[in-house]
Amino acid sequence: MPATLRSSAALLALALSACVGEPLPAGGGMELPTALPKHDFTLTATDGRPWRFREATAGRLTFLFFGYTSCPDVCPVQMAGLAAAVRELAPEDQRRVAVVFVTTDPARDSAAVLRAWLDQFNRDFVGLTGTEAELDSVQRLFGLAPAVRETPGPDGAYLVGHAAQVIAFGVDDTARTAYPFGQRQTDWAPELRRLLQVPEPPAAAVPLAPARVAFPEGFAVAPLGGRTGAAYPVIRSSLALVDTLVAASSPAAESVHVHRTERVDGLLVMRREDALPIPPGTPLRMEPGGTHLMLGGLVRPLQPGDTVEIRLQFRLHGARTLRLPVRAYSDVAAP
Amino acid sequence: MNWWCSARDVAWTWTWQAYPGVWLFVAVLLGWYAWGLRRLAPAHAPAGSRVVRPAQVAWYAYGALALWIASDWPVGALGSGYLLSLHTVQWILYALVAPPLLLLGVPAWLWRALAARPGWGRFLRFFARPLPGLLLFYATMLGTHLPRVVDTLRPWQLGSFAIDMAWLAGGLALWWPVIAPRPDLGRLRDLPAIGYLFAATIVPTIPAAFMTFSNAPLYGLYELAPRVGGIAALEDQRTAGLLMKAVGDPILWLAMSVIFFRWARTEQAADAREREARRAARLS
Repeated sequence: MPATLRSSAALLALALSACVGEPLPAGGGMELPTALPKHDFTLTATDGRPWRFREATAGRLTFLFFGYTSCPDVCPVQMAGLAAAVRELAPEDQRRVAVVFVTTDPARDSAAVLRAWLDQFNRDFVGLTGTEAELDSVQRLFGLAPAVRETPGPDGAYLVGHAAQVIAFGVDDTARTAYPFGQRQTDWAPELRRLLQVPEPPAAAVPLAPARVAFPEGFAVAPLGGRTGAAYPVIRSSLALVDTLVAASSPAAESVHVHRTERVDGLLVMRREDALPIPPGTPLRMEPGGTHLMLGGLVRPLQPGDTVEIRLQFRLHGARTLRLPVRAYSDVAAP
Repeated sequence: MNWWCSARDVAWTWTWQAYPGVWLFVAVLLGWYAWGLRRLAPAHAPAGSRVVRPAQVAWYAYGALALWIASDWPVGALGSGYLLSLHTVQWILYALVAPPLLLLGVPAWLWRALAARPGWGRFLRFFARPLPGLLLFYATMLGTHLPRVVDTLRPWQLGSFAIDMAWLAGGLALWWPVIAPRPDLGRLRDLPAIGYLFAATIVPTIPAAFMTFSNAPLYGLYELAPRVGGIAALEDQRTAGLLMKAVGDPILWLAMSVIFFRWARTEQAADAREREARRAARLS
């Protein structure tokens, strides 16, 4: 081989040997030092309506990301990766996933801009906006530094420095993992499947039933007057995850809602809860003076000795029907 | 300043960037050509004929132009770090367009002069055989399209340069057996040359099919690169796969057609000569 060719081959070998080592960012999530609860916040969705994060995503695998639609690098890649992974899921699993994109550039990301941008990835992705103060406070809520708008260039265009990670809340509404930039579509898919997995409850714990603790079957209370009653089931979740009670109904009442009684400034105040977390292991006891099911618009008067049927809808367990004995108000009310 | 286009971790802008290594590379190619023609012509060019035909100069210049376009901003910059479709355009220019033009641009006497130098003759004759040329083309084309190779080498200028040069080497090896001066340097005859070029269309089908039909981006580099013009990574990859076959193959088919018609003309001329000889024999 001529000397010039030998030199070329040596140069090629040098090039190859000099260019190995620094790999691309590896896929895989980053374990959070402490589990992050699904803090609640309300921002404006792309349809202009207020959107409550915790309520709307309760019990769903939720990916929360802060970014902006003019982002040239991180945002479209993260969204494309998630969109591809969601597309690979079965339709029933797709419904169990929420991707929430919160803009960090409200000046340019109008509702229409946000919607059009997200639609190129997935029409079900949620886009949220708000005032800069609201958006900053939401980022702080999740331990992120608020996004910083860089100085605009001569053409008025500017970049926004923002957190690049996607925070993943599991079906137990707790985040344990964040995904920094560098996740590939092939990395996202197994992660989604893993995060969606709900351990099968032990056979002995099925079906979900009120535990026999203080009031073995739970009970309902016949009201002294009017058309409003209350029920106090005891619920034990057989899962290792936090389940969520998301709805309740009864043939005996026009409406059934979860209410929580709290003492505020010495006064007892009753608040309606749209979603009630059911902790794993420990039974959730509903008690007079605490959390209870309010039966509104009773269709017939409840009598001690009757049974009230209540249908509870859980995020993970699905629908369960309870039958609770009715007790007299005087047997239950504190002396 | 970067000397050669490589993947960069910054958003794409249409602001021009200088790549002096590319200019040097093109200058060396042109300089070598001029040097060969001037320095070697007195001793090696056939007396009484032109040193080089204008068409050959034009072919060589077009070949250098193709390499310059493939390597410099914006095609080189986009192809090495942002869009796989442009990476494929680079491969087409490096392996399928520039090599035949460069080889056709060099007059036969210059090849013979080079072959007379120690070592070169054996080297040029070795690569004029179909198997080494085809295998080197296959190896460079498959090797430089392995995701791990692309993801590892493209972010570095030297690595990116190595990929580009491997394509050029594979392309020169592919085209040499059909362009080398015959018979002394062993160019393939016309019909075998057509079969040889047809064989060259087969293996690129493998990466092209993977790119076109994969459900996920194959190359982390292009998947995670800042987006250009809102083109999604998978869309870009599918375009790359289609380009590889839809543009790459027709170049080879064009060459096959040229060789076929040349063969047909030669055959017709031979038939005509034979008929003329028979007629002359009958008359005498």
